[in-house]
Amino acid sequence: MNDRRSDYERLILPIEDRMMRCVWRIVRDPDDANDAFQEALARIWKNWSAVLRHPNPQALVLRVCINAAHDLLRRKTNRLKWLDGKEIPEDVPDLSASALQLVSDAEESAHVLQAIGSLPRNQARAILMHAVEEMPYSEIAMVMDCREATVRKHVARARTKLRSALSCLLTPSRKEEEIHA
Amino acid sequence: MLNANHDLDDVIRRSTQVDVPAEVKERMQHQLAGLRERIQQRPSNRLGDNVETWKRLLSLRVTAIAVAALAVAMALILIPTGSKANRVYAAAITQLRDAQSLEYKVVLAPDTEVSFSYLAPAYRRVKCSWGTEIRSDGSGKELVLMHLAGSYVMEEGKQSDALAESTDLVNGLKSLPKTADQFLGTKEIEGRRLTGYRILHLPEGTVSRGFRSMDLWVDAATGDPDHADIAIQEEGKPLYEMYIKEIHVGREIDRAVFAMTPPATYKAINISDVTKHADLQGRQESLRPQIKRSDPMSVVMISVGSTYEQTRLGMQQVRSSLSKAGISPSGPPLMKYGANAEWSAGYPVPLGTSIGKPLRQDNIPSSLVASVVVKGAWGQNFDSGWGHDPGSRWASFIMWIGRQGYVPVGPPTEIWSGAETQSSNQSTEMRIAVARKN
Repeated sequence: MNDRRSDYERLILPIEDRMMRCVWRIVRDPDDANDAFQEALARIWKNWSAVLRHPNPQALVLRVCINAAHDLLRRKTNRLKWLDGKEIPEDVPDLSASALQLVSDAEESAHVLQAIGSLPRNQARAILMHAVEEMPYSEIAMVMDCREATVRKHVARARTKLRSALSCLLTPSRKEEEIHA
Repeated sequence: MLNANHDLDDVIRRSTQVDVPAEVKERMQHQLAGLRERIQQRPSNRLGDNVETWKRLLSLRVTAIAVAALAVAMALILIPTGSKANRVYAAAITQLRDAQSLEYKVVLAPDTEVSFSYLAPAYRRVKCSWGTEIRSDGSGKELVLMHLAGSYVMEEGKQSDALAESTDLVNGLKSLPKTADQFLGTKEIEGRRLTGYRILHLPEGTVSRGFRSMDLWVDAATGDPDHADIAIQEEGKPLYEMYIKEIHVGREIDRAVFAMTPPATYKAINISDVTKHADLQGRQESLRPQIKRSDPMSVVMISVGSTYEQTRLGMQQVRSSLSKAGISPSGPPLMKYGANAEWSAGYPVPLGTSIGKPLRQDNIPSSLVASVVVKGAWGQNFDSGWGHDPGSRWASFIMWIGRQGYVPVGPPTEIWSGAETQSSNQSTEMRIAVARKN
């Protein structure tokens, strides 16, 4: 029993907050977050032996959380595409500066998440682990079970697509830098 | 582009950097509590680990042999206690318990194997693919043969004796528990139906760090143990897997394989256990193995025999040929081990250099390699943190590579630095191409 308790305390306890945060950051809806987190924990439990044996168990657990959240994000993105974005409210009753900022931030987030949700699975997961969770390439390679160069390719391709999809959020000077780089 | 990447990442991060709302967090924490409870309520499996055994064995005189003995240990003693008894498993255990002879191979890494033979009442042999062999006939003596170096050690006393470990293992084998921890189902291999059993427990008193599991596969028709897969993971290290194959119980073994007389041409070595032990402890600290990317290299080589003298003469021949062609070596001499003791020796030359027969020119591209520098006379026996003879050093190195999560994918190469006439200043870079284990 002590071993089992220490397994949880050693592997999960230190990253509980990160697990919750990475799911929430991707799905942003209480019910979706609940579903995605439930799904992630079910996958972790089902593969607990593999988690214990993995060279980097905590990175693997975070990957499972990101995957579960991303799966949900993809489903949601596809549904929004089907509905042609009609679920996004168009009228903003409160026109105060702070309220507009909030709406603007929310729109930016929705835009970014939708763009990530539209990416191919591996590219999306790689960019989420790299940019959101700030995991090093070597760690991502370990949990995606591929070479580091492959991860870099996924991230580079994801960035290319996101740059195009999110061009409206990037400042002109930034875009110029990209052109000249 | 770097800035652009950062800006893009910033946008992504900014859009995702939000705190989890309290009510969401509360629900998630509730879910985590459920996971925690399930993990804690998992059946206790008395998971052991073997690092203490491992470290103890690594400090033994012939490191690689000790490692081999550990591999043998894994195969012999990690037999389960538990609740899921099965007749097929029990049949295999009975066979092992009653065995008058036993043979099997432990695969430590690709092309790196240890063959184990036991014959009642007390004959034992451990033969390693890297050229080291230990024999014992139960008289209290042990013959350690180092085939690559053409030398041997005759040892007495069991205190620091690697093979003594296997004696206990054989005894352990004969009192194996009758049940495994998990049933793994069945699989077909070459027309045979194999039934698998997972062993997660070590018997009391043999608890050691890093051992995760052993999957023993038994021929369902005959009850013969067929093969086993062993998983080891030290904390913070990648998973290391080794395999036991070609298990033969009760097969006739020629007693000549246990002969305690070394080949006539082999030279005897006398080593003081105490001094050597002390030296090993100190010198092991100075080893700095690493995984790195090598530079591309063009090498001119010639096939040589398997002795140090032949290698040295081969190098001289290459150097002379290069000199006649007006080519200067671009680095220290090197040698490459091939299969069946077919060795090559030569020098690196500037990229783009062309040279004819009998010399052979190889262009080695940049690749991922494992590398370690060992100080001591080139190609010779000397005490090091990784063993006494070149074969043992290589075995230890290959084990280290495996524990880092890599597998060797090229021939072992040695790069010899220092002056040829001053063996005290010589050092050897052991280098081998590796790839990350899938």
